[in-house]
Amino acid sequence: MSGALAAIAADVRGGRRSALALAEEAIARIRTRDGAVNAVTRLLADDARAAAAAIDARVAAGEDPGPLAGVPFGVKDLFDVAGLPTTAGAGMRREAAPAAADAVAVARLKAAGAVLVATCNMDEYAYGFATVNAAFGTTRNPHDPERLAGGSSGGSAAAVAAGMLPLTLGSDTNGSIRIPAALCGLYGLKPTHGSLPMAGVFPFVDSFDDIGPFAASAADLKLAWQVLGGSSGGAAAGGLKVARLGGWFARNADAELIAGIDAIAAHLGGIETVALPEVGRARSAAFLMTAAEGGALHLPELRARAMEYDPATRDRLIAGAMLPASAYFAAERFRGWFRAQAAALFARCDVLIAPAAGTVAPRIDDPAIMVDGQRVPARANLGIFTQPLSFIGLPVVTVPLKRPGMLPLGLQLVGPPGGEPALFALAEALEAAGLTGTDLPG
Amino acid sequence: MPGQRDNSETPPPTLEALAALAAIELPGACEQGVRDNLALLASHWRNLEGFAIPGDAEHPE
Repeated sequence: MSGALAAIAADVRGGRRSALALAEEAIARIRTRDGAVNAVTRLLADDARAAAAAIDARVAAGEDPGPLAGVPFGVKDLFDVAGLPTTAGAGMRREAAPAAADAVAVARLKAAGAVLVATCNMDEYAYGFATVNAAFGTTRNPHDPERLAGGSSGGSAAAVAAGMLPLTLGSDTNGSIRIPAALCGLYGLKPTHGSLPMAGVFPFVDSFDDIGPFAASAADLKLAWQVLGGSSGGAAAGGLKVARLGGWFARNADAELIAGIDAIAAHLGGIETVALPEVGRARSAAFLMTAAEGGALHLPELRARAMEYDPATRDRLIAGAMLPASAYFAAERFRGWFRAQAAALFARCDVLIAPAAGTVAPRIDDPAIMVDGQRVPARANLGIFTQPLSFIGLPVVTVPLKRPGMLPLGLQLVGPPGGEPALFALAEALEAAGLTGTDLPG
Repeated sequence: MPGQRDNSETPPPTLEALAALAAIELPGACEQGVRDNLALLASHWRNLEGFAIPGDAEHPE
């Protein structure tokens, strides 16, 4: 799958493949496969055909449609798409006023020649790690339809993992790209906080919200990031100082995940194990800020029509709206201290390796995981390794361990703010070494 | 730690009081779920308060 997006675009730019045919193939795949997965909330067939035909016309006229020419893509249902209501996964927003314009990220992909084909399922208002949605249904994991795809960007991940689309966009506040990427065996990017455009994206927690792509290879992910606004600069994997995160990040992780990190460490010639202090408290602080900001955002609607929310998000948002400001400020103060601890680590490391989700995808009929010997709901707790990192705005590339025929497990490659080029360099090197990589089911 | 709560003497506010403060009329169907989530948030808050940020003691605000 390496470089699939660039190969598609090269063929379309060179007139060897038609964007319209690519769009038709994606539409057909969605119609054939999505019944078993429920990744797609709206198939935009007519719009996709029109956009693809316009790409082909530009090629025929001797123009260059851009680096993603003819690439079909989907977006999580919280990106504005001109002319459609932005549901944010909420049944109560099915009849919301249509968006006047595309989100900036959507516009950038289209300007690079990509063709929007579908919107994708999510946890309501992005508050969950499961993509279990009262209005739009549960998204199933393409590797095992009896298991969760993860969330909240589960539809975006499942659409790529099922081979329906080669590129999708999601959002990540506490792990909502990284968890579904890990559970569906994909590459996913949570960028440096604030580095990719949020205009036209339905918010959740301004302090941590970011957007990013899902793709089936490191090269595809990097290309999408560059088009979305990332740097065109690169980094060499050879000179990187890589370490693994121990402590909190070594507890509650499957032995196979730890073995995967061991194999990477051996490949890199042995790497140091380092620890971030007070990670559990960082997760608590992230939990509090999320609840408070999410609750405050939704308070006017909760006052007016609480019973129209998905029960799974409603009670969490109401509780967050009731949280005393003192709790929020305590969390914010802690964040400043914790960010400084991470910065001290990055003074001597370029990339830190950690688990993404601690286990394979939980079963839909038993959506629980074990944390410190306790069974806890997956919806709220799958992010134990992701929340403490997005809490301080760090960029993370999630990579799938190479394990053909087995349920996926994913790792986080974590960098300092602005460290994406090094993360992509390491992701590409590990993929080339056969240690990480995507194995799409079927 | 300056500013730390002392929960030993002050009873926690009632759900009704918190709802009134947020000016939200709490539907009966939400009560147990909201109580459960508030308990979870309280546990995270206690976890955070169990840690004194280095330097705070020397520079109380």
